[in-house]
Amino acid sequence: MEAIPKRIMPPETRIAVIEDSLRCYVYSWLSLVPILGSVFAVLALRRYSMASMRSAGYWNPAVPYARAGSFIGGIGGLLSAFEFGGLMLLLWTSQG
Amino acid sequence: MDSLPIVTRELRLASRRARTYWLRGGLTLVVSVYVLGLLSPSFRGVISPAVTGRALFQFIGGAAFFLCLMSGAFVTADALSEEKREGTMGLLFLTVLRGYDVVFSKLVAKTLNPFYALIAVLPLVSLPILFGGVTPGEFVRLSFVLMNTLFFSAAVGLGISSISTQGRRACLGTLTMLGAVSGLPWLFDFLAGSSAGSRALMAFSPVHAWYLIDEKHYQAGAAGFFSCLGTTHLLAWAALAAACFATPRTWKDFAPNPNQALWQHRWRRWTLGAEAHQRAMRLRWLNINPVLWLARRERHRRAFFWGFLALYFMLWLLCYCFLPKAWATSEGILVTGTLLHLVLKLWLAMEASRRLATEKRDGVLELLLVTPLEVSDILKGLVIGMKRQFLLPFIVVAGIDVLLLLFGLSHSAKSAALPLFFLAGMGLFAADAFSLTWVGLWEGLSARGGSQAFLRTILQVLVLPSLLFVGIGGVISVSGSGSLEPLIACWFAVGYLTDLVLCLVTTARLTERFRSAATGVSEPRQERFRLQWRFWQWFRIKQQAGLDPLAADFSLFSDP
Repeated sequence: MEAIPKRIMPPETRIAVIEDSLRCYVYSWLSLVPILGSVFAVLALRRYSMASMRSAGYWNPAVPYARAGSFIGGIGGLLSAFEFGGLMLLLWTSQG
Repeated sequence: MDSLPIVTRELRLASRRARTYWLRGGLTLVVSVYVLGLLSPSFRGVISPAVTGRALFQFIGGAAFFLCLMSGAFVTADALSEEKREGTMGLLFLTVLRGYDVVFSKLVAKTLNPFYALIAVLPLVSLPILFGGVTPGEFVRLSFVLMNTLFFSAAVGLGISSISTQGRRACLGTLTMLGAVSGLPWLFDFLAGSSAGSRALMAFSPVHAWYLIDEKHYQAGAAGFFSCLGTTHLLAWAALAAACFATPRTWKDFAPNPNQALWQHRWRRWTLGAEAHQRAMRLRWLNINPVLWLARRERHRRAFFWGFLALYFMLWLLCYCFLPKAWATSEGILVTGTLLHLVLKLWLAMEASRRLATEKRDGVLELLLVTPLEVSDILKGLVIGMKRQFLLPFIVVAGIDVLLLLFGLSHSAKSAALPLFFLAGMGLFAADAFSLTWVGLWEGLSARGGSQAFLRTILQVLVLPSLLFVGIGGVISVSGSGSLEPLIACWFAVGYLTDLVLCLVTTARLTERFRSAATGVSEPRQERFRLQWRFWQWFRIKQQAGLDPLAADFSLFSDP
């Protein structure tokens, strides 16, 4: 009776997944920059989704970075949205 | 009860289920926290207790009425149709059971928890009587209306379920029926003016009974309240009688007659396209991603949106023509935009939760998982399929939002709240879309059926943040300066953070537990928690019985 083959992620996919997770983490810190950070927040969340999709069903060694990155990126996006809203409100009230 | 053996069995089962007690206790706790939170300004003397009590009564009473009215669509609409789909209805009718046995057992089994929830909430709604804002008569009327509406809605759900086979069709049919019975008399009254005919029609609408709860309205038409209550009660019994009559007659599968077969063929051709078109699509998409081919085969799903949008636009124009002054205000524009968002969100939740639930039920998912396809391919196919179906409608709705905002700014008073609300609404619309997709896919995979998955998705993504917002927003509005901007910011923050957390949790679950959830096998960690829980239960039972736990047998750990 043959043993069931173990499911192993191809090395090139694993490299891509680790890269995506680390990029997500770096972008997430950049997302905390006021207003401009919204672009990095989108990039961080996109990298997180790419890393999750690629590693679905396998173990991702850099998963803590991906999760932390997505959370910080999300918070950065919220802060940028607030800053944008505040800026709009300021412009509106200054125009009378 | 001996004459209804299954009802007795269902009641016994419910009495032994821990969920029955947890639901009742949990709901009382949640509503108590809300009531105390909303009453806190009155404790500090900021607002008169009578005013707070009145607002509390109207808010909780309104929410309870809405849930009671909708319960039929989500609780009983799939009760009989599910039995038919699974082929167990025929087995029931091989015994001595009659139609009414099955229908009443389903009524009791499905409405027991909503009924208990209602009973748990009613004492809290009666609190405002002590503050003076609400009369005892209003409370008694509200109690009658809520119980009657729950019964009516559940009965209509069973009536539709008895003639349906598909769960989603039964749910939509029930929603349509409840919407028509509740809303059409009001529409007729609005269009034709107050006449004897429209007043007679009003007796059929459960919303009219709720409207007459208010002391002022009740004094003006006490007879109308009782006739409305009686009419809806009779309608409920008529729906139950129809369900009892139809259930034993509609469970069998018959071959379609030539006329039906022709229509089925036409429908199939319209939804999937001609043979040549299907072959071309198969060749093209199967090579890219088989799941994507499965997801985008049915063409009519995209057509529904444009039909709905056309209908919505016509209704908006009609309202604008009849009530130009009321409809061009900020409130009218906000209602138009919010309703459009809500419908699209509900549709997205339904599609996302339906896909995996249907494939899991039909065994398609199990077949896909034994092919060389990876989980990532399946997820990618599903997500791209959703994107292809919903991206264009979402862009169109965002464009309509911008048009509505421009229309609002040109027609109503210049206020910063309107553009802020629209910006926050559009941001939340995008965040909710992502969240609904991921949560819907996960719930479709893990829930028992499509209806349950849809309900759980809606509860997590749309209802939970609304409840949180009501609590936090209440505190902000009481302690703040009275401006709308902080409330809009709070609404956006609560919705966005809920979406973020739900998205992260469900993507992690989908990517890590897809196979185990699809096959219904517990993860090792879940299994360990389950065993620990069972051990604790066993230990507690033995201690309560005064026995030495170590000397007892381990029968609880063996499989039943």
